[in-house]
Amino acid sequence: MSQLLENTSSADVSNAISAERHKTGATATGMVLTFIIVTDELHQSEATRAATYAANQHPCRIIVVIPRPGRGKPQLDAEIWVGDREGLGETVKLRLKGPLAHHEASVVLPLLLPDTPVVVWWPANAPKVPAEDSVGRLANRRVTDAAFTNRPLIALENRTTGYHAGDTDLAWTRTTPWRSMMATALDEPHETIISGSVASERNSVSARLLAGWLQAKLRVPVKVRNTKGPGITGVTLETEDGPIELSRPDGEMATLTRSRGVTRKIPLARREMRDLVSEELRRLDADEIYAEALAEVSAGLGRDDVVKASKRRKSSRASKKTVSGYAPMGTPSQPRRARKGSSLPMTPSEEEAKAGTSTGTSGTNTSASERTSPVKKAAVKRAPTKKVPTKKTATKPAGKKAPAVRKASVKRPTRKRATKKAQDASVANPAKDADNTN
Amino acid sequence: MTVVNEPNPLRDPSDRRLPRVAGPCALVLFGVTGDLARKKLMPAIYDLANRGLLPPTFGLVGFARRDWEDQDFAQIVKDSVREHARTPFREEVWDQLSEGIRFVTGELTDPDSYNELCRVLGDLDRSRGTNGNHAFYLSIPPGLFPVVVDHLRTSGLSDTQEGAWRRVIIEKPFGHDLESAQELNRIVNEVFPPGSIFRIDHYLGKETVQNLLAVRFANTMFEPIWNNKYVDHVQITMAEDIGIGSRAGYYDGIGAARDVIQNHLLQLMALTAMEEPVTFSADQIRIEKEKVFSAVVLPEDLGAHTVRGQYSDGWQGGHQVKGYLHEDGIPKDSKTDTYAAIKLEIDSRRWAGVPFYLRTGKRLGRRVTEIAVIFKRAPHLPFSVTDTAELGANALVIRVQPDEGITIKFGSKVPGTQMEVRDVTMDFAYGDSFTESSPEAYERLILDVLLGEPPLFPRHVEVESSWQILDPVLNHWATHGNPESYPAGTWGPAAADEMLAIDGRSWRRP
Repeated sequence: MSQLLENTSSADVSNAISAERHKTGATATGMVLTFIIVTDELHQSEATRAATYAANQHPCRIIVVIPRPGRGKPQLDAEIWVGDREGLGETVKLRLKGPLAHHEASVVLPLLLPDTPVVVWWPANAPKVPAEDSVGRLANRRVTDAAFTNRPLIALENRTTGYHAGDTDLAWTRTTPWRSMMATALDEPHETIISGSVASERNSVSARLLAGWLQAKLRVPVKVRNTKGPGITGVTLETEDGPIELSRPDGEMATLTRSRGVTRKIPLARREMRDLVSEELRRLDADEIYAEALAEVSAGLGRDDVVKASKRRKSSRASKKTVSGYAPMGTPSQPRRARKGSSLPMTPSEEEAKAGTSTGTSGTNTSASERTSPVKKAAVKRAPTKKVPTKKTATKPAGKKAPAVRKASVKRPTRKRATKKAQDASVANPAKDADNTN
Repeated sequence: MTVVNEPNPLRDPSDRRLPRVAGPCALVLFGVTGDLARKKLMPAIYDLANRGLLPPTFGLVGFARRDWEDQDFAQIVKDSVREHARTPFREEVWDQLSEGIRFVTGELTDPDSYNELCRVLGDLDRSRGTNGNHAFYLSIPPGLFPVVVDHLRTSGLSDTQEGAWRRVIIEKPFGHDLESAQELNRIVNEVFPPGSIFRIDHYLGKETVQNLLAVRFANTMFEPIWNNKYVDHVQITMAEDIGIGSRAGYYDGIGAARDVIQNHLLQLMALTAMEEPVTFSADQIRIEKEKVFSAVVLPEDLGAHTVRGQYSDGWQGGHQVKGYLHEDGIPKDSKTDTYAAIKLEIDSRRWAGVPFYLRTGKRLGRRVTEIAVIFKRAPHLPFSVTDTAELGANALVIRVQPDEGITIKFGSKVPGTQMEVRDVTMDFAYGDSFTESSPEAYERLILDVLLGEPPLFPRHVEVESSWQILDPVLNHWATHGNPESYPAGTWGPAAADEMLAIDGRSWRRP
């Protein structure tokens, strides 16, 4: 049963839900949590599907918040489903138009179920510090998905700097089967482990978290290598007696090999979004293990691609100002792209195209006033000289290409050193490796 | 080079995402052709594999008097999995599992068969890496236990190698009286140490039964009233709507009391009545349960406070059904009880004066298992008698199956100008709040065996104490009269109602 309420209020929505419930004879007492999804039109339908599936296991009220900022009068439109399609739960889809788009919490607050946990999920772009977001503040558990952001590694960096107990990321959830298999592999007697590596497609957040976890728990250096994917393709632990290797080249079946012992095949299929969300709703307390893995990743991060990020971290620490990492497209990656002269002319336009969509989507996520201004500030503060020339190359071809390249080549020595260090040192430096092995 | 002997660094107790996965091992299944194996055990094993809880090395060995090859047995398992498994069938999981499936054609009494089993297990250890960890599931009539256990010893199958384990799993009935239970225990104990013997009482693997402990000991609002100051009496019911079906051979001569009260109902009673264990460990819970069993007293007049019955022809839920004596394979003069009800008291400060009524039966009104704690009426009611005419006693009911959950019954004012109080119920349904499909009891129990975690398995002391409680009743019945008949589809014989009526109480309709 679906009901459409246009230009409505939270109170009316709440009444409509009770009325619908009454009709079907059900009560809301069985529901165990409120599940808020903050997203945009692009992602809302898939996210709702996944959440609805999860609601079959954890009966909940799903509130989908779709901010649509713009001019005009503030308006709240709501769609309500109770019973049938949603199984035991109920779904409310809220479209926040005009200035209302920046006040999601005011709409959501009256709709939270009494005295039960609140989970908020940003299926794509998320605020830099989820716990400090206006909706995030209402939640006990805040679920992000770094892999589905425009700049996964930057998002990962943000997860680290903005971490609060109760945060979790679906990129971490994706590692559970791998972690389980590795733990099982080490249940058997084995030699001392010296080092490890995780192989994955480029820019895989999950691979970095997995490496971070292994490094945190095993206290040995763990690297990330790039492969063609899909996803994570393997984990290798070097022992004094040869490697223990779990490899999954096809995203379906994995093979566990060890120096002595039997080679085994293990089904290790990539999981669907709905399974990830269900796993996420199973426990609602702080995930300390995730925090540990995150901390390890951040210790290993901080060069090359993320060179800016680390600088930014310093500056942000100094100024105590938060900076959005996912929004300023282009900037962090430009030095790297510039290095390959040929790809240069293409880059800015590509990036700009992306940036265009990204500000569109990310802008809807959080109140724009909070969000965009620090971003701009940071971008300017960070690399004013660099940003300008590269932009120019996009508009004015050929002749102006040189400065950008020169700029890059000036930077090169330090980067080379960094490269070398990463190769010698066995310290996990995921972001670094990711960008050099390609 | 040093082999690491420390605890696995990747296993962190606070890492709740990682499931407990059993270590490398092989499970030997005796009695693969039985109903239980086909409908419960094999599907449970697949479900465990599908949930990623079995090690990739897992081996399953079937043992039976059939002329089967490994593939034939694998096919049998596959069929039963397809038909009965709880989780969807996935080819890749099956392929992985089936690689470890072996079959041994053999007689339970033939030493050569055990040598063959020995060879197959050794082969699995090498080729698949089960590392010498073997569990033996005896899904066979208890009469054959001595033979099998003895052969396991003589063939060396029960000998533990360095760093490996051997476990044996046995099903109820654990004997038919105290003496036979002790004898059975002696036989198994000769070969396997007590910690390696796992007695399966599938009721204890049920979520609701475990939840009973959570409700009692994780909350503050129930424990203060969980005593004779507030509780009037407790009714524990396990009713089945089915008859004995094809189990005539097993059931006749055993009866409802031995089949159900001795294990399930007494266990439920112990969990309801026991004091808070010091920790939630297997040993501590067992100590508390044993204290309850040792404090149980039977009524002096067994004739008045115990009842047995036998269902006769009748109509149940719209179908005409046969009486017990007309079931196939039942002698016309059988005195087996298909209904049993007994009254017990627990001599302790907490429970003195609170009777526990236990009843079970086949062909009753509907299938239901529940624990109902009935509270005393308020000592004084400031209302007129007519106001509270419809007010019953408060009750807290733990529904074990079906519709797992908890119901609380209390009085509430009927809307209107008059002060009229009537009973209402407040309900918690497991299925509403946690619809994550709960694993089958057998899944949980098999996994616990493979992990070696015994909190849900009764120890032999408990088995023996429950026989000690039941034996006098059984002896009384054996020498006094016949079971009273009750029409199929009703809630038992009239004598059962009288049994409560003499105490001024009545059975709750579950």
